[in-house]
Amino acid sequence: MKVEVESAVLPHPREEVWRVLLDPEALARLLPGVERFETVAEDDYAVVVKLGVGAVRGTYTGRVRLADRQPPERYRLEGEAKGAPGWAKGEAVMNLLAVDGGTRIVASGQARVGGAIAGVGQRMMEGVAQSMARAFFASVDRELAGRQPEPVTAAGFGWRVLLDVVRSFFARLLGRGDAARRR
Amino acid sequence: MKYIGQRIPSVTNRALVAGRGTYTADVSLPHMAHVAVVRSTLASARIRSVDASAAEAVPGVLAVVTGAEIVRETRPLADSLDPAAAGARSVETWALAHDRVRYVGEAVAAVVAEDRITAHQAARLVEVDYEELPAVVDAEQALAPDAPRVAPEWPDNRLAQAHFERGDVETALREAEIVLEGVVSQHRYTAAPLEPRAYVADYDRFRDQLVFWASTQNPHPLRVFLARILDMPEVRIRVIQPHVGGAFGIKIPTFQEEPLVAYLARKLGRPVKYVSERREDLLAGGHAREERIHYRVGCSRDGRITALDTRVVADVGAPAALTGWAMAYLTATCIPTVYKVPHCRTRLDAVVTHKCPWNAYRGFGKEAASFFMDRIVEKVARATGVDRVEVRLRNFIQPEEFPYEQVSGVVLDSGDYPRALRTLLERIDVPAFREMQAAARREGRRLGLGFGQELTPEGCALPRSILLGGWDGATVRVNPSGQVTVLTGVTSPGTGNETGIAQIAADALGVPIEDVKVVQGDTDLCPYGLGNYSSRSILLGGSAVHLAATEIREKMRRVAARKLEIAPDDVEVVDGVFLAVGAPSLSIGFREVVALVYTDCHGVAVCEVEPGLESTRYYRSQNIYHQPEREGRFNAYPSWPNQAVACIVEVDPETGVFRVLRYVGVHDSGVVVNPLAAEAQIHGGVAQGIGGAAYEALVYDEYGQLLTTSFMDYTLPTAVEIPPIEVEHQETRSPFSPLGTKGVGESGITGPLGALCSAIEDAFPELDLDLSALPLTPMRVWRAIREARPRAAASGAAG
Repeated sequence: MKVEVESAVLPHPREEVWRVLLDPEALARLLPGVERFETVAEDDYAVVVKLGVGAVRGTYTGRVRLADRQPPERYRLEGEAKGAPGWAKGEAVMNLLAVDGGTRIVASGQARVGGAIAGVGQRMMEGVAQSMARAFFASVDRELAGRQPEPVTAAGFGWRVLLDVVRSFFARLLGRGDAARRR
Repeated sequence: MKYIGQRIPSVTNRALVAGRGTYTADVSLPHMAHVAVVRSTLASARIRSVDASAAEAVPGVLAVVTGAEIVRETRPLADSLDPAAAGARSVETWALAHDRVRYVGEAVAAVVAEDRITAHQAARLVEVDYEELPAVVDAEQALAPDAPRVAPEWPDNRLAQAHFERGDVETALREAEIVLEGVVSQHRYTAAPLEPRAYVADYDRFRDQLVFWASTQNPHPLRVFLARILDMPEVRIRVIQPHVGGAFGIKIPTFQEEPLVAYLARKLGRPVKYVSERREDLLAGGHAREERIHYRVGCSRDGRITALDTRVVADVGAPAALTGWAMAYLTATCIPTVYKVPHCRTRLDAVVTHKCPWNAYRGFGKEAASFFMDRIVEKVARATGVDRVEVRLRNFIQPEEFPYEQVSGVVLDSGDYPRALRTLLERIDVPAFREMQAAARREGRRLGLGFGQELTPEGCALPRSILLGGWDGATVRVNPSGQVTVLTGVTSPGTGNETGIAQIAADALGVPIEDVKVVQGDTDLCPYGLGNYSSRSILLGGSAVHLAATEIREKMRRVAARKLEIAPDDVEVVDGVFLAVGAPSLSIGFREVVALVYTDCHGVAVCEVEPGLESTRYYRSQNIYHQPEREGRFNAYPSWPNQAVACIVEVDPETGVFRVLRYVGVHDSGVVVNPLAAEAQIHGGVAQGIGGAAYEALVYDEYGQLLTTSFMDYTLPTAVEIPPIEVEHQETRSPFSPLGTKGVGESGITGPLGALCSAIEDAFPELDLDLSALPLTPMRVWRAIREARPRAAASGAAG
């Protein structure tokens, strides 16, 4: 599936945003649900992420790699993770756009999921990805503003994501045979 | 006949309606452990390694078994239908995949634990290291020369091919007044019995006996397969089939889980239980249907079909030990169904992909052939302007032409298609409908009338198959009380065939039906038999019961004659009483004869017959041709039931949603033993047909991940979607079975596919609406209405 996420305008120059986005220590702090974020090699990290939402609930172990750095404009992010509910992998190009009043982050890429997630949670995934990205961008903003990031627990984050997907979820419940109809 | 033909409620009703049925999941044994299965999360991959250490460390886990152990300790799965016998290809598969996986959901490891929840939680901790390989999830793409190979040892992705031809198709097409071409397609869907697959195995090493309770359709063949796979003596295995909560073909062996559960019980020396979750059944419980039929049809201006060239491309999923792939063969075999086409060619490509293997599903590929021909006759009607009912009548095989050899060599036994269709027209009252349609139209509502024609051959008999044979056995035992025990090799998947079997036995012996008990589904009790599929329980099982019961009756007649001191030919049997012909006062009752046989075997009346009142008889179908070299034809089906159907729908053009208002069928399955049970079969079939045509779909993404793994996404029709169903029986006696019966188990499921397309099109007489691809989802119907061109003035819609 395609994943397209856009941040609000962060009131900080591109170079500063770039610095946070590419700083492993900051990422470990700011990425939602991250329990472990260890450097394996340059631009190659081992991660453990915990998600607390319905069909995708679980602990995921995986790798994140950064590539094609073109400071401060764009870089590529690749990742894969595996957990009891299934697996996910994807890649995205992270674009940092200089806009009026600061910087906008536009991520666009592809993701694939498998296992139980594919059957039950595939249509939640976009909502989950959007929610995680938005939470992350907000944390980046707070970090740059010198504020403490809002502590996010897996369960707490789960509720936030759930709110984001609940509307589409109910739409699906009411519209029986959605999958068949999409054909 | 006192009972045959009567509407007798099923003898199982009381227990089942009271919730007192015993299903496999209800079987609970002391010290029973529970199994959870680890399934592939990739459609195509090599298994590098399996790490079970985390799962094994969970308290309560008894064992984690992987493919490596299975390959060491067991044998490959036994093909339930030998592909080589049909010129098809196969691969070696095992109770657990060990080197590669070919579809999401394939079993790769199993966890046994003290309780079900622990087993499932530990199963999530089994780490399988996969090397992902390219997957192919579309049959036409799988035929490309550079497509990923599902079985690398094969030269291409074709599992089976077939070619049937009669006449000179190319010349006939060249000379035809009208030639049409296109594609008719059916999507992937499946049976979804409410009871999922379930198995309980108990191995007693002191007695060296394995007892295997299974939600299966075929206890004896399953025992053969378990014995081969586990390398155990067949007689040391007892398979018991408790109540089955729906099967529809999808529970025919051999699944990975069957030998797996048996193996785990033997390994642990404890009873183990596996109950599939809905998600597991939808992923790995067998799929069906997905076929595209490319066609060219030639016809005359008066609607006579002169030539038909078809190519069936079936996506049978990954190769497995299941019988499902044969459904593709049946589609090709049945074309052109109930019609006479002088020049006809059918080619088949049954193609493997990285999706769930096909398993048998009610209809068994025949439904696709009838659906296809329904679409063809309506396209011919559209192109010629001849009424669609008239096109059917002009092309039907006529009643006097039976037995009729169809293009593929199959032999249609009997029938009267024109009479059934004419009866249907009277029932539906077309002129009255047209008035109703016009009145509705004035209110802005769209009504349509559609027609369909089913041909559902039953009683499948294939050569060299341990499972699909045209024979079955029964034991009839008259006990000292005069009450009767009937043991059959056929089984009931919940259809109530034991009631029909009791009716047959009661009529042959002249006893009250309450005195008959039918025992099925236990390999230690019942005579060897092949179980349930292809509507064979009454057709074959019932015939065997009739033979055995008749044999006992004849023996009793001889005893009665000796007692009455007259010749056996002078004794007639009326309601279980043995009477002297012409002197009815000279008689002896059923129970008196029984008492003589049991208590006076050396006495004058009994001494010349063999003691005992028990008979085991086997029945073999007629009209079967298995020696094409000698007989010049190949036919696997003794009987060819059929049905003409019509339905009325209301379509909302703004949303594409439609509702079925009325559904009528005129059905012919020969002599009907129990009309109530037969109608129950047809009602269920129609509901499944409507579900398949409009609501149910198994949807994969481009990487072979199944997206429809719960009943929230795989939507079954409910009572709301199913209209009242009217059924009229037409009895064209089978010339080949002893009681004139055919088979009714698959009737009903085919009709909705074509009839719904036909009815929706009829709701828009001004449009050249063409529905040839299922499912009829609101989106597709809406789009078809939007994209349809105005219809040419010539073609009316009188029928």
